Parts: sequence; structure tokens; C-alpha cells
Amino acid sequence: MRDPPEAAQLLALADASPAAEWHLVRRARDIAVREQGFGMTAYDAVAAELRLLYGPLDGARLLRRLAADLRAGRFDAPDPVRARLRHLLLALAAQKLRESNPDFLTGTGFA
Amino acid sequence: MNAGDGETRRRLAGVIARATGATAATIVAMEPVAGGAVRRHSRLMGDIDGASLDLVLRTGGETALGLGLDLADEFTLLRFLHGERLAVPEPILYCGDPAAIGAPFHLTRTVAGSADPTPLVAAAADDGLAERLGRMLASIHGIVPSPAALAFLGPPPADPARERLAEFRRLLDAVDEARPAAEWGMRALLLRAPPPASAVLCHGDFRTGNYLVAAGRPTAVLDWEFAQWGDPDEDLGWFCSRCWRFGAYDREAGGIGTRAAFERGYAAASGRRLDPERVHYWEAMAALKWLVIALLQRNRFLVQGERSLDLALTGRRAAECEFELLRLTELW
Repeated sequence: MRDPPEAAQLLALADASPAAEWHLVRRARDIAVREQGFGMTAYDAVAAELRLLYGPLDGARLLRRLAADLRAGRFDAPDPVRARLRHLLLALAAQKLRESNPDFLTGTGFA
Repeated sequence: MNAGDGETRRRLAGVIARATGATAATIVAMEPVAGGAVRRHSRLMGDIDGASLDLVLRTGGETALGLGLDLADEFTLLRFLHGERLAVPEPILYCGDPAAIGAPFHLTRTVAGSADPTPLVAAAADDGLAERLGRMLASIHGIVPSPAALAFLGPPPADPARERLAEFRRLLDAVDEARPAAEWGMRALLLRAPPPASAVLCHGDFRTGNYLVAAGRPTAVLDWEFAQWGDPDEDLGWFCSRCWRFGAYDREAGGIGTRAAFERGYAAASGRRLDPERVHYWEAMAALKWLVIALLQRNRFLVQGERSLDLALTGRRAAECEFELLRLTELW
């Protein structure tokens, strides 16, 4: 569920980057450290919730099913399921941001 | 092109001399200019028939994004806008002959100022600058779909919001990865599409980083490759997007000032009364648009194989867009 490129790819690029790109290198290394620190717990929790809806699928298939259902308008009605899914998607995006750009969450209630 | 090597400089000098009818042109320095994630820039310094020469060269990257105007059309647009006295760098020449430096390019005259967002957002909030930028954007939106000179932009969209959504849907489907937050956003944007507004020339990437500032005043608008006919609120939403505040998230106008100042300048110069709901809609659309572009930029590394840390990191910005799409459509 984590967005590519993952830490290993970023670190490989960072190691080969010129000195002038020090700020990008630092960002890549910071992301790698944060990814390692967080592990997969938050993503596993999102997947576990989606399995309640779709059954025992892997993360990529769960996201694909949800994306297709959203496109088809299956969750248009303002009901608790829609509210729960929105919260789940926000939690997923927030976790990605905690790894890639935690400052972005400042003042949003998700920091 | 190997920026700065003697052969490249000699060839460029030859192209400039032939295009301008000069007897002699010399380029003594050619230095890469930072910024521009899609295209590359170099500053050329030298002389032409005894007068000093100071130009910016703009050319494609190692791989292509697959979106926006090509360099020839962008140059034609710059020439038109310069003729209309808009604040753009003066276009000097376009060269489509790959034999010259290995790729098509265009040259514009260097304009005073810096486009670097870092010092702008690090400085104190500047509502004066935000208001001037609002006025500047209004002057761009004063161009309406009639000039034959801009025929390459195609016909104006009858329904800008729905046409943008169709375009982003097509591009996301081509990326071919499941993005439920994007689907959530697209569904919300489709169901809430506003009535079409009269189309104007939209810059398409009017944001901090794409204008020059000297002594606190904007001097020129850069990077016109995403220009197209569209809803004027599209540019306002893009400028105010949280994704383009460079860390100064509480300054809603591009990380440099208040939204009120920016909109005040825009409204005064355009004569339009802004509808906050429409601007909000287009701000959500901006998150979707940047999501699409970020994924396409990332794929220049992941799929096309360009070894660029900048492109790779851009892919990790997709989460900013998804978060914003969900947040901005919360009450819809």
C-alpha cells in the first residue's frame, strides 16, 4: 500500500546523486529512516479493515476493488460505510505523509 | 547537449548569429539554472556584435512527461503574450533543428529576479506581493479565445471541469495502479462540477516557483507549457493549493501571503466577483491535477528509466494530493 519508489530505491539514487542535490539526498534518507521506524503496522490495519468488506485479498487487490467500487458510485450514499471509508483513506494518506512529508500534516489534525 | 562545453556554446552562438543577422556572437558562459522539473534551463552569457548577451535556454529533459505544449508552441505563445505586453520573458528564437545542440530549444531574454521559492516562503508574509500576483494573473485571464495566433491551443472547452476530469481519468487509467483516494476525488468532482464559465487563457501552472521576483515585485511569469483555455478559477485554485505553499502552509496564497490579498488583487484587476465555492472546487481539482502530474513525473524514473532522485521523490508527493482531495471534498 506504500507508494513506490520505496526506501531502497530512493537510497540507491541518493548514493549516486551529485553533491549539489544534498537537499534531495537528505529528504530521501529521512524518508528511509521514517519508513523503517513505522514498519507496516498502519498499512496492515487499513488492509484488515478492507478485508471486512472484500474478504481475504492482498493489499493491491483490496485497493483495486475499492477503487472500482468508488468509481462505480457504490459508496455515494451518505451513510456510515462511506464515512468509515473516507476515514480509512485519510488514515492511509496520512500514514504515507508521516513517512514522506510529515510537515504537510501540520494543523490538519493528523500530525 | 553538454551544458557549457565549448562545442555546444560555439553552435549556439552560430544559431543566434544566423537568426538575428548578427556578424558575430560569442557565448562565454553557459550555466545550468535550477528549477523546472519538466524542462531544463541554462543561462547563456556572452556578446553579440559587441553588445552583451544574456539569455535563458529552455529545452526538454532526458525523458518526456507526455503532457502540455511542445517548445515550438510554447515559444509562439510567449511571442504572442510579449506582444500583448504581458509580463513574460522576451522570446528571442526557437530552434527545432536537433543538429544544433541535440534537442529543440528556445531562447528568451533574461529577466531580473529569482523564482526560487525557498527565500520567498522563508521571508515575512508579503500581502503586497500576493496582491500584485493576483493582478498579474488577471492580466493573463484577459486573453480570451479569439486570436488566430493561438489556434494551436485548440478550441476552448465547452465544460472545462468535465473535460479536465475526463483528461485526468484517461491519464490515471494509463498509469494503471489502484488509487482509491483519486477515485473518491474524481467522483466528488464529477458530482459537484460547477456550471461552465467563459473560457480564458489559463497559465496552467501559475504558482510560487514559476514567477520571478525582484525587490519584492513580480517581474515575469515563467513555464507556460501547461497553458490552455479553461475556467479562470482553475488558476486561482492551483495558486492557493496547499501542495504549492512550500511548507508555509498557513499562507494560503502560494506560501507567500493571504488568500484575501491575492484575491483582492485579482478581483480588482479582472472586475470579476469571485465565488469562494468555485475557487474551492478548483482547488480540489488542483490536487487531482498535481496527483496526475506527480505520478507521470515519477514514471519518468520508474518506467522510462531516467535516473533522477528528484523525479523519484516527486512520486512520494502523491500522498499530499490524495490527502488534500479527501480533505477538500469532506463536506460534499
